[in-house]
Amino acid sequence: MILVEHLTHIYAPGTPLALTSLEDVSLRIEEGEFIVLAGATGSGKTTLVQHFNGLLLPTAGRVLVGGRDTRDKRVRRELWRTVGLLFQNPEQQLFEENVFAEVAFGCRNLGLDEGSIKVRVRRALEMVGLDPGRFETLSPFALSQGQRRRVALAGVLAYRPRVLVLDEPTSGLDPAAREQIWQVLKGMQQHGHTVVVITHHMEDAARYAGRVVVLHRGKIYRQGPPRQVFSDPEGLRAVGLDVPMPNELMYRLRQRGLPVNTGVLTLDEAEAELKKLAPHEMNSTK
Amino acid sequence: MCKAQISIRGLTHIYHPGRPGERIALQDINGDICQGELLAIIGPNGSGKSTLARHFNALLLPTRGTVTVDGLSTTDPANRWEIRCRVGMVLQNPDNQLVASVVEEDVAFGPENLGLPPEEVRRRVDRALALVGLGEQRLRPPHLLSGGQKQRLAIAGALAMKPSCLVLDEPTAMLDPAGRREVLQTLLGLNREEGLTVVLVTHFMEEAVLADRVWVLSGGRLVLEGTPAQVFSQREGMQKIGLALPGPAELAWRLRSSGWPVPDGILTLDDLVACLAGLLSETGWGRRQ
Repeated sequence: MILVEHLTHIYAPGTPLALTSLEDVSLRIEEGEFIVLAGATGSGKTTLVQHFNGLLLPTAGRVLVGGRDTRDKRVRRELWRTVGLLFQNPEQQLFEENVFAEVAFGCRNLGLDEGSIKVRVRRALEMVGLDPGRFETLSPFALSQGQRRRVALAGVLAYRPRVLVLDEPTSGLDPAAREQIWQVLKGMQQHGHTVVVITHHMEDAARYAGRVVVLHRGKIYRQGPPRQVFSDPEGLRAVGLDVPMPNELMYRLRQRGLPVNTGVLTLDEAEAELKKLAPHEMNSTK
Repeated sequence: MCKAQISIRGLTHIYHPGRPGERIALQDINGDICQGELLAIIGPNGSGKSTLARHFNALLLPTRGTVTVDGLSTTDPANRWEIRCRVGMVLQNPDNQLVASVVEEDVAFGPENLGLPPEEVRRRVDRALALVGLGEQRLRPPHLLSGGQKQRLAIAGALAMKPSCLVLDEPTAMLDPAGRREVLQTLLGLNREEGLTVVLVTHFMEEAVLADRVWVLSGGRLVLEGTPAQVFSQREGMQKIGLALPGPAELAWRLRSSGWPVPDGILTLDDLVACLAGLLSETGWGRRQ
């Protein structure tokens, strides 16, 4: 779906402020994949995803979306239809006078008729947990920050781009709202959408990602299924990341000489793994 | 002993009262924030955390009830300047809080506005930067700092006003894990070593367990308060309002309820590792069945 070949991006090239943000990055994202992009601040995550919808162009190398080169202006003009990008802090970018108009914006640009816009907007608001009847007519400015965040997400969901790219969609949201957003994205993936999410929440990444790609100083540092990537807590900490808590727990128990499997990612798995260690009768008591 | 620094009595806050869009954000909040404590405020989105935090330095004023800082009421306009000097505020997005193009000038912005003599400004800037560990970055432009550094710079800016209390509204929400650790270490140091009162609004339960006390807000009300151990022993109550226990506490609870002799009060990963390692090695459980 997205093919990144030897992508280098330099901000302000040829000036004293030149900053190499990505260096020779190659990445192949298949249709229907759920990718989590991780990496410390400044590792190039945002720069990378802004190439997916043609917002940034390669300094060297190329990016193909659905086989079409983003350097081609005609391709770029239509790219937003395929790749929906939710920026970091989207709640600061709301501009319509009410929530309905805000969420409908993308659909309007697609040229859909009023009827289907209405259906899609309501559906999208429900997906992000906002009751359409209550919220549609409110000004985005009357909402809390978490609600505004969800309105912005609904705006991308409503026009149903084949690829959803979200830059830290859950920062500043409470655990329940975070869970809901991950579930929504999982659902989109199950309907065939490709999902790319930037996040610092490693536990969420572990639970939802099919593949985790870790960037470090503009290069791909690790990539693979979560179980594999998170099997190296020290390597990840060295680049400013954490591993999920259950994983860290097992790793530390192992360091203390206990024969536990360190490849666990979720609390459920950790619980099951620990129970294997205890005498049988211990786990049967209630 | 609690010597109240900020006292909240019957605080109700209504946005746009009597107009369309009227919304009750806080309802009848009562409580004291003690001098020198680290208080965490948690709650789901829209529960009123940020609204409450903004009352602590008179950015918002009560619709009903009172908020006093060291005995000074926020409703009296004559007190506001003094209150804002005593209570520093740091917000979520560091990029929105930086005002200058050089780190030390950014920190000097507040004290200069107080009209202090240059030597005093210099002293305060040096001290503030040292406290957050940014002394060596003093001449760099803020936009070249990492997220954690930017947020520590925002904290330094607040410290330069010599507040006795620092209120932080989700200061780590936008940071990567390393940046989060940096900011937390800085806050713990300021609290434990400098005696600063710290109020930390957060969505991270792992941060709340580091506090002396936790307030839990839901639907604009203060529904639960106590030490982290007390608050996080209320698993059901927390779940009901959409909050989860910190991971280690949740796992400890699950093991306990399936009969493991895991004690109450396990909150951090360190606690859990120590407990399990002891249990599994001493009892010979470590052998696979």
